[in-house]
Amino acid sequence: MSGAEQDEGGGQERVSAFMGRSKYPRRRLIDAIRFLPLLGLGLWFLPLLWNARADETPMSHAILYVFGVWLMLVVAAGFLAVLVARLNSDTDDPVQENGLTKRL
Amino acid sequence: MATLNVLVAVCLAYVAFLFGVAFMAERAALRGRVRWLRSPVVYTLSLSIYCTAWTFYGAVGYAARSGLEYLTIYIGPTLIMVGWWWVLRKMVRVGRAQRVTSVADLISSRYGKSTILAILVTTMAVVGTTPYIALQLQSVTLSFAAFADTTELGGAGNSRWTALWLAVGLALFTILFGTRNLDANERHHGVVMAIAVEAVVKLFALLAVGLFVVWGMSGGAGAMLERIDASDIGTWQMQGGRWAGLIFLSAAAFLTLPRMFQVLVVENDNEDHLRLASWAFPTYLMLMSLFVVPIAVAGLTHLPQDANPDLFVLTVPLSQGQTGLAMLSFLGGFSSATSMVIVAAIALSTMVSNHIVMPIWLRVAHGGASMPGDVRTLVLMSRRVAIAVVVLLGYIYYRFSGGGAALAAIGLVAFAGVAQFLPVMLGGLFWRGATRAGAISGLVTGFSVWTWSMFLPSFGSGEILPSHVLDAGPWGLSWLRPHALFGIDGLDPLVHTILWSISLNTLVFVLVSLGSFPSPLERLQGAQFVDVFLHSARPQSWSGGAAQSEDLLVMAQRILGPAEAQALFRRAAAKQGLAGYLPEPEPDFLNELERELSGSVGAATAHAMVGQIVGGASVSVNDLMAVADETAQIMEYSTQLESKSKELTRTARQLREANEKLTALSVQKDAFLSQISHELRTPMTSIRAFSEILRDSDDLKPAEKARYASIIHNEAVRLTRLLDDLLNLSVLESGQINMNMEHGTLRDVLDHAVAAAGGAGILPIRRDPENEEVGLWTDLDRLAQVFINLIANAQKYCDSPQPELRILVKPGLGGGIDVDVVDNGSGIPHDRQEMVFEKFARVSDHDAGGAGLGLAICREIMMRLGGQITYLPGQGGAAFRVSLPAEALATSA
Amino acid sequence: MGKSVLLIEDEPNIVEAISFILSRDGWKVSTHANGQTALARIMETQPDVIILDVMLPGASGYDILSSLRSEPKTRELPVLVLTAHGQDRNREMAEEMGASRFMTKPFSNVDMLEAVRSLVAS
Repeated sequence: MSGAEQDEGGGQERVSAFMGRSKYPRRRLIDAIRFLPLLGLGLWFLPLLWNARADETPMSHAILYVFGVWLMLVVAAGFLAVLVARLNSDTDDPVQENGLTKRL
Repeated sequence: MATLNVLVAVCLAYVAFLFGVAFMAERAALRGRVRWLRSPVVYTLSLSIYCTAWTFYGAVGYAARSGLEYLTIYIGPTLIMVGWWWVLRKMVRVGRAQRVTSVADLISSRYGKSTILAILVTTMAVVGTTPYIALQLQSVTLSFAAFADTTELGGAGNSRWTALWLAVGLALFTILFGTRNLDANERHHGVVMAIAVEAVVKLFALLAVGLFVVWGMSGGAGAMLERIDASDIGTWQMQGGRWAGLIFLSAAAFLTLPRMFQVLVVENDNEDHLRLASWAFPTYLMLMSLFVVPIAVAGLTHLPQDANPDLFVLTVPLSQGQTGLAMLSFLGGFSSATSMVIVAAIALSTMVSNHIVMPIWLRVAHGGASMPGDVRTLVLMSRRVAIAVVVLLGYIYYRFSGGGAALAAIGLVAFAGVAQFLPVMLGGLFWRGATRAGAISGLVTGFSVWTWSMFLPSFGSGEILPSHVLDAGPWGLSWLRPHALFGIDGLDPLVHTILWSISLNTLVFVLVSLGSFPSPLERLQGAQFVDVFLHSARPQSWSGGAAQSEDLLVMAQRILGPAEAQALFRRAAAKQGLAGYLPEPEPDFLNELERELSGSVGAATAHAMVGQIVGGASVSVNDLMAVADETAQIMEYSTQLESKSKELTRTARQLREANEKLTALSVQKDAFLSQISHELRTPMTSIRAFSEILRDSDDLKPAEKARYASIIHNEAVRLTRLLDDLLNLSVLESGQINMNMEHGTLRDVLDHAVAAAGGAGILPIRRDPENEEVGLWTDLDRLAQVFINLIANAQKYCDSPQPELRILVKPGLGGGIDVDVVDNGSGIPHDRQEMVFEKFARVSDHDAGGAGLGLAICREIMMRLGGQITYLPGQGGAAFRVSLPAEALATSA
Repeated sequence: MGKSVLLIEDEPNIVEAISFILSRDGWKVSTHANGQTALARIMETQPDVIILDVMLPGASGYDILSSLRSEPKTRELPVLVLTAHGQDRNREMAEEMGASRFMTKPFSNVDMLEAVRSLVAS
């Protein structure tokens, strides 16, 4: 079943401590994906600090800020998703992987 | 009046369209076009059932009341989706590996396939979802009424009927497309396609209203922003607690809502779809919420003070005379409501039937799962009833709550209810120390707090909880006041509930888990879940032994359906190297079977059913040893070793069998020389003896001379025939023959064969003249030779006191025909059956005048004709089946 | 001479041929075609010579031979073993079992006659 499929992420990290160099960018990419929601959370919690400001923040600013963060997150997530897909197909192709290793 | 009629007509047309979409999708799925139906885009769109009528109508109302707070409901899921690598990926992997069918199944499966836990979660999910369904009914009813108001029609009585009709319609749709068949994967192509279409409709409708408000009413984006700043909600005012609490709550609900679990995990076809969804679904959410504030502001400025903000999406275009736009907006809201109810009802009905009805049935039905009767019918019926009951409960809640509370409030009650699953779920996925006892205690705690502090008060003061209890606590215990537990007063009621319920839930869950010891099964499942990316999917090992493969097959057929079950068993048998037989109840096979079954009836039930048949302990010594060894790597390693050694054993067995066969064949080859010598020498003896007599004796009478000459002649013929047979066979075997293709009928071929074999006088032959009228296009002479040999064999070997031969014609596999030649003798002993088609293989030591080449020739001929000849055991005599391929049949003879 | 021969053989044409050759030489020939009942027939007819085929329905010629040799009454009875399997090991086996003579099929009529004659003479 699907569980028997070759794993393409966290699993291999623990199975072998040594990995090809081509795996390195992939792991950093996954780190980036993991970091993204934390970034979003931080940015979206920022407006709570506006409460302490002396003059009130107009609603239009708040809207532009919140949706700006949103757009940024979506674009970043889309970019990372495309990269992950590309790296996955790269590692499926042994020739390509060898080439990468040699070049590095 | 006219508008209302048009509205009803549009509504019905839209529903008919959805039926059509769902129906076409089911048809396409049947024809195997699943790839297109299951594209990542459809997956992403199906996630939009998160946006219910609450989102569609309620968000604007929410914004009109509390500014940007409504965004929290979308920010939570956005963060979860963007961070899919954390939780979703694991959840989907576990769900697929373990064939999880629902939230309840996931949790029960993780904690040792516990039935109690499954029932608990199911009950909680039903309770938590009921208000939500009520909310959908209410919103559609309200939107109907909004149209009715403008046409001066309707009223309270009317809206009840609207809600009831809607409930009935939705239940019917769900039953029709949600329980069409019992799919082992719990996938519903039609429903998913329909909700994907609805997702597009509701986004389109909301965007259309938004664009109209911004550019049609307010004069562009810049002017709109100025208007917003000038309105009642023109400044950023946010309670930090609510902002954080609601983001947390919506994120939690996104993972734990039964309907979300259904589309996220159960209906997921490919883990990779998450990649697209990770950014596309947040985009969808962003677009859904983009125009909420503008619409709210437009409503606040253009509509009278007493207008219900929850209906601004509808009433703003109506007030501007944009009936068409309002109609579109109505369809958007309608889509939101219906898709939510449909998926929620499917998810809940799966849970109810798998975790409540099936366990009860298993307990009640004596003799257990191997009793006769079709379980599938039972499962499907229980699901249909469950769907009706779930929707009915929603309707009852709607009537009870009086439809008064604001939409957003009801939605949050439901969110907080299902969010109670979160600690147990995450604990199950990431913490191997989580135990069943901990899970049960945590859930009960969290749910009790939620019920007391949120659910019961949500009906309104004095409805279920008397107002003095709300104000002063039960029996005057002020620390138990629903909105001020433990004397902490002044908190926002929602934040209060989230804080207490989730934190107490988590605390109890962790403490009890730490203090209790998990059963081996729990620990095994724990390892399977937490280390899903390390393990191949082997949930829990069965110790075979007493299990009866046939009983298992009987059971599996009734749950999976005969075709699928038999295919599964055949596959398993082939994997074990036992092609053609039933598989041995090896642990691997039992695990696979259990996983397949759990797709239909849930993990706990499947485990119990297999357990009933396999009998004995559910955990073997091997499992205990595996559990004792906590390191996952070693478990994985030993799994590999185990499968390797199993493979070796199997290979060794196959080699041994092959060797035995080779030895037997070589003994036969040895015997070949001896045989051929005997067969040639016998007629030659007579020839030589009589020819010497004729040569040396001058005093023979003419009659004697003639007789001896004819003996010589006959024996010479016998020799020639033997040599012919040998040559024939060697030519056939070498493949250098010319086929003489002719048209004819099977009847003629059989007539010819019977006559050539000496007619029916020697051995009565029962034929099947009607079925023999089959046109053939093949080498008729060689085919006749096959039947001649078979008939001659029966004449020689049939040892019945009243021998008789039957020739039966039946349709064969792949459009060909089978001709069975069956005698009523004692047949061929089992140990000889494999050898009968070999050269010189005689069935008995008894010399019946044949050289033992007949069947070998038959086999070669049939091979050349594209068919085959096989021995049929167990026919009450020697029985041979001559199978002709479809190509050998000709319509015009 | 009038000595009697019992021919145990299941192939009718061969039976006819051997019977013809021996009768013309003055032998009293009786025949039997079944291996299983052959022993009883031997006891009953008390022949001077036996011609025994190896491949018989019911029992093999070797079985019959070894039974004859274990019985004191028939231990010395001359037996000519006939076989269509012409390999050396068949001859060895027949001699081990106590065959007085061994012939393979096909045979010359003269040899057959001489073999039977020599068996009685010795």
